[in-house]
Amino acid sequence: MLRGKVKALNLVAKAILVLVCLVLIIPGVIRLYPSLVGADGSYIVLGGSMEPTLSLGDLTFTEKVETAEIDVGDVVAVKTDSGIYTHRVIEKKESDEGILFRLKGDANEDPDSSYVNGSEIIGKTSFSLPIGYLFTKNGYILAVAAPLMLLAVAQAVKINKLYDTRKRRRGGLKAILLGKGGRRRRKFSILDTTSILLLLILVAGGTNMMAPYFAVGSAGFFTDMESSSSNVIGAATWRVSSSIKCSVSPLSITLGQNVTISGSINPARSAEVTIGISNATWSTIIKVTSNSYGTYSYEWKPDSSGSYEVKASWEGDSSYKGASSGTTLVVM
Amino acid sequence: MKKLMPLAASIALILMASLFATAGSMAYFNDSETSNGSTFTAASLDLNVDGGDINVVKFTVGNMVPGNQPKGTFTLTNVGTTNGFLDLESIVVTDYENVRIEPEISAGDTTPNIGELSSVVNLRLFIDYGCDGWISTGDNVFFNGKVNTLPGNFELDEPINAASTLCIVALFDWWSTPNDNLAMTDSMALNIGFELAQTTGQ
Repeated sequence: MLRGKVKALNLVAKAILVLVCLVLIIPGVIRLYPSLVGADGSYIVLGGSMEPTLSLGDLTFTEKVETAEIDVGDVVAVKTDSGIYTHRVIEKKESDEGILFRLKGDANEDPDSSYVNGSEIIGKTSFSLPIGYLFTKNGYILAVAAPLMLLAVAQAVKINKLYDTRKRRRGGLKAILLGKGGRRRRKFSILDTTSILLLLILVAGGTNMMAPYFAVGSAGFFTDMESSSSNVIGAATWRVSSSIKCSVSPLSITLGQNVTISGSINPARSAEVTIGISNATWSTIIKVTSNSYGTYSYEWKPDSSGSYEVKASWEGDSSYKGASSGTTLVVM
Repeated sequence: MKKLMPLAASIALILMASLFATAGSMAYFNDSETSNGSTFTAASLDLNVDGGDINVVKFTVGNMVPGNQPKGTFTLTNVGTTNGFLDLESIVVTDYENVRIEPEISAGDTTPNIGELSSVVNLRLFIDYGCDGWISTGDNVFFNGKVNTLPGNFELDEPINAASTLCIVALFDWWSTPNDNLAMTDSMALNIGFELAQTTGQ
């Protein structure tokens, strides 16, 4: 009765081990031969930018599709100069260079910065296997830590039994832990089914966990875009230099003759022009207004003979600084 | 001797198992403890500009005149757990004429709707490794030219490791040029995108 139960338990344990074995081996095999499941390519997810859709270490399978068949929402694998990555299509648009796609990682705040041409897309992700679970604590315990412990314990028990040549039968706890003893087992194999299964799990688990380190293509990357926009730099206004000309005609006169003092402001504008006339003992200031072309003119008749200095100036306005002309000498 | 054979076989078996277990363990522990970003990285990538995720307005200069030198430092922090590479993207400069006053017209401003400020103001963009706001030895000046010659992006591929900070300084210089009067009352808007990506070449 007890023996039957132990046997059944043994069978269940072995079945579990076979199952774990298959779960670990099958993804590895179809990763190498994706055509077995009708896929065109297989990639290991090397980044978390597609969380929670795709986790780190997950296996994705792609199928080749026509560019036109790819729609918004599809997850696609893209080949770039720096590797392969898998992101989701969020925008599709026609352009002169063909159909362009904008992609985004599900876990990324922002879309990828540049558009992807349809020709760069390797294929659409048809399905994925969540073997990224291996890289979690539980996955590690299941595929690596526990099988190794079990294997070591199983072997230790066997070796102990093998070298326990004492005839004395054991009882109590010792009998439970180490067997009843009393006879030497003759049929004995170190490499029994359980050990082989445990070893297979370790080989498959270890290989799967190492696979990302040897993977050629990556799948997925993180990107984050922040902006500094609405920076504004504005120029002030300032007063620009101007010039004023002043000429006198004729430069030499006789008593009773008029001289014409004329000139212009550049840039042209109507403004008050101050004409200053002076000799050694006397001076006067005359104010005239230039016309819209900037020119002004004034007729002056000196009272007494001598030489006079004539010059013009203006004070400037909101846009232009004031200016003074050079001095002209008039002799009478 | 014959007695030792099973023992040797058992030890060999466990050693072999340990080998694969070690391989798996290395993969597991490397992955969960480091974040070197080179091959296989869990976790996140998150860029902060000046300590946040919201748009930063760095320059609001109203009355710039020749001789002015406004300057601003963008403090970029990778607050994720993955190393990243920085590129500058979506750089857009827009010129505004605002009003066209007489000195501009007499200086030869013939475009009533297009500002000229970006063609007279110089900009230097540099990676300020000391974060002191000045171009020191070793700092990387990756742009030095008139603002209107700014390209749309800079593929800097400058690494910002997880929990690290990088300073990028924008230094405007309005050195006097013969065309300064053209830019009177003009303004320009500048947009810059900072992109942190896990791989180069994005």
